[in-house]
Amino acid sequence: MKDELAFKGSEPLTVGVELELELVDQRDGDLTRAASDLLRIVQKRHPTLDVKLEITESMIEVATGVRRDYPGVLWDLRKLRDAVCEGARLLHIGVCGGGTHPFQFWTERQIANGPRMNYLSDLYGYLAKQFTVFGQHVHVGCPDGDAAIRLVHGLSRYVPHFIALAASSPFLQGADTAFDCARMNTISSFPLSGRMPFVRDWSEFQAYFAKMQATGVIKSMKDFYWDIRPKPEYGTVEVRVLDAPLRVERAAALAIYVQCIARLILAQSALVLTEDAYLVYSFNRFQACRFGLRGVLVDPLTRERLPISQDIRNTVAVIGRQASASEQVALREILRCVEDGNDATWLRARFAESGALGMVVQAQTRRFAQANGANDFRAR
Amino acid sequence: MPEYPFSIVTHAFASPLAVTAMLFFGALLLAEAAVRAIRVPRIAALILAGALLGWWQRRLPTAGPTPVSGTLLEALAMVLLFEVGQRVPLDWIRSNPRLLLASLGETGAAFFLVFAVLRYGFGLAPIESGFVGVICMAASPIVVMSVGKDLRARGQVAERALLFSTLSSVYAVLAMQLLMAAYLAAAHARLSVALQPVFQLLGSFVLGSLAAGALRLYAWGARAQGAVLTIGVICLCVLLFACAPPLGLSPILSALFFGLAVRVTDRSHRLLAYQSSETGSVLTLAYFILLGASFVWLDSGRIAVMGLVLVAVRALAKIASNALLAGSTALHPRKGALVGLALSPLSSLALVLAAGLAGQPGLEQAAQTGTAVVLVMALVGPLMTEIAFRLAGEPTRREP
Repeated sequence: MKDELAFKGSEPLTVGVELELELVDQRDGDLTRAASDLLRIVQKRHPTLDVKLEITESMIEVATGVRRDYPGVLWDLRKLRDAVCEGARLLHIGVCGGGTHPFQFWTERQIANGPRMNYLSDLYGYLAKQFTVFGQHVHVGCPDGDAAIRLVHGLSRYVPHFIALAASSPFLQGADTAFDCARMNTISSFPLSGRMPFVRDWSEFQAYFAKMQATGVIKSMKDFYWDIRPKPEYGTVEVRVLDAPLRVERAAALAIYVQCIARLILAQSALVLTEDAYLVYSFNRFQACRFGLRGVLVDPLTRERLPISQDIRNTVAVIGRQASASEQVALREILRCVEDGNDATWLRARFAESGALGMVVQAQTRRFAQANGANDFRAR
Repeated sequence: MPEYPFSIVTHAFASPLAVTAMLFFGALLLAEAAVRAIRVPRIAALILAGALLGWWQRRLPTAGPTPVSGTLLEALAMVLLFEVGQRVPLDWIRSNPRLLLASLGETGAAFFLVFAVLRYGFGLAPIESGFVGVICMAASPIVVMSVGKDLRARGQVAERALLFSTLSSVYAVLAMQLLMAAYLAAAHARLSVALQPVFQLLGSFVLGSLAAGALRLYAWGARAQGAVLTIGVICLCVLLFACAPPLGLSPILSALFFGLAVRVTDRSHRLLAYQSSETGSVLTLAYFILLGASFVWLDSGRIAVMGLVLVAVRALAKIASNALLAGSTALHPRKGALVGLALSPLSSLALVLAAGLAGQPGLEQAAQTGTAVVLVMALVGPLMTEIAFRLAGEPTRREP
């Protein structure tokens, strides 16, 4: 246990992004089975890129390297997108973002082969197949375990922001769910989901982990499906509440938004929060999932109620004061999202135009593959 | 209530229409029972049930004129070919042009290996070996599509098998035209002989495109959806079937181009609704029962042996060539081999090609040999396609 929980400190505030992507049939937009075939092509043509299989053959995970800034993250994500789209063209399949596939049926999914996948399938039964949802995970570098715990608690306050900004899962199993982010409801079915318990430092966390392991409920850190969790083997804190956005430019901007907030939190030398900070955590989280940027956020300490969109504007104003020029570009993308609406709004608009979810998926694949030259940065 | 003598009752049930209706009824019962009891693939079960009942019906002393209409079978094949045209991902070749080379390679391998075995193994004349080779080049896109739909197969093996089977059918129709024209012109070859396939291709394309335009007009004018749209599709397919031969064009290619033209021009996918209609499913069931019932069993042992050898040779050629060429088209060789296995079926297209030979003097043996191969692969082919899809892990149908 000690080795597993040894926190390998990393350069503070470095960022890494993981994106889970949908693989779809070009004919009707339904999920197809092509992850192994696509992985083989990408690994052969781009051996240095980090592309992995996920729980079913209909999804694939791409990951950036460890980056310090927006241009670095964006450069990596664009390279990954281009490589995956290039392979997909050879296989005549589509690749797209989005937190859920609009009309796939979980009974048709097949769990990919592998010890971890088989373990999850045995343990969780149909939940494993329902886990065909697609998220963005942002890792933020931490110098030590205590800082990681501080960061997990600090970032929890902003979970509604992350959910509302990234929300791209309004449709599920062929119907409009009325949620902007239906993906989080699927994750909530898992017994070890939600928020991390209120521990004050890394030694308290180790004690908690040891107790849980002794009960036999968990084997490793991977068994926690928390919204935000420490990742000791990487020396990071991992934010897991974001839906996979429809464009990599949005994904990069969200990662930088998380990084900028993390900078504020890590600037404080000690944990200033109490467990009361989590008093309305579930309510705020629900508001963000259900209503997206139109949701209401309640501050548990001041009891103040604010629209989530307004709270994001206020936050951007604060973190923008310390932001570099490239970070300002990312924050402008965040404000654009607040003004124009999130990806869930965009998806509903496409459905209103065509009336067919298959056409919505085709629009998603075109949007994902689209090279967006705006806010461009040179290679590094 | 009047009392009928037994002979009148027998006579009433022996009429061609009644026998056809009972054939459908019996075949569906038999096939569905086999699917449930011993998990036979549905398409194979339908063909087998049709074949058994067709054989039994022909042995009945009271049997009147054949109840199974070849015309109906070919008309149904046209509708299914239209659907193949709508589904086949021809635009894939633009992004992965090596697929075209791979498809030429795998059909070429089947042709040359079958030709070599017949010419040098069985001592058949070169022209006859060539004709049988052309029949063996093709694979049935209708069977590949129907098995894929039945299993709801999704993945590279199902997609590539549909693409390659369609392309191989086009090559086979054109090669047959070229070979037949050359055979008929015998020694005095003319330029028009060489141009025959080009005329076929262009003429069928124009006819198919005209049909697609007519369907769009019909859909727009009648605001056609569901069954009304399906009836429009069927009418146009039957029209193509009736009009193409007098114009010297291929009805098979015309139906394929009709489907392709609809796919390309129907950006809103409104006309694709036909595929999931119940009428479409009924036509598929009817087609496979009629196909099985149309089989005439062989009475020559030598031809049967040649047929079985050719089946093995053809399978070997398709599997090996697809495995070898898979790497160049961005696919693992194992999956390439499964594509080759999925290309096993032969059905109505190959039967039409073989029937075209039967009427020509000097080509009787080629026609019989070709029919023998088609017979075996029509029965076993769907099973092999299903095995290929299952080994590739592509079926997504919810099992009961």
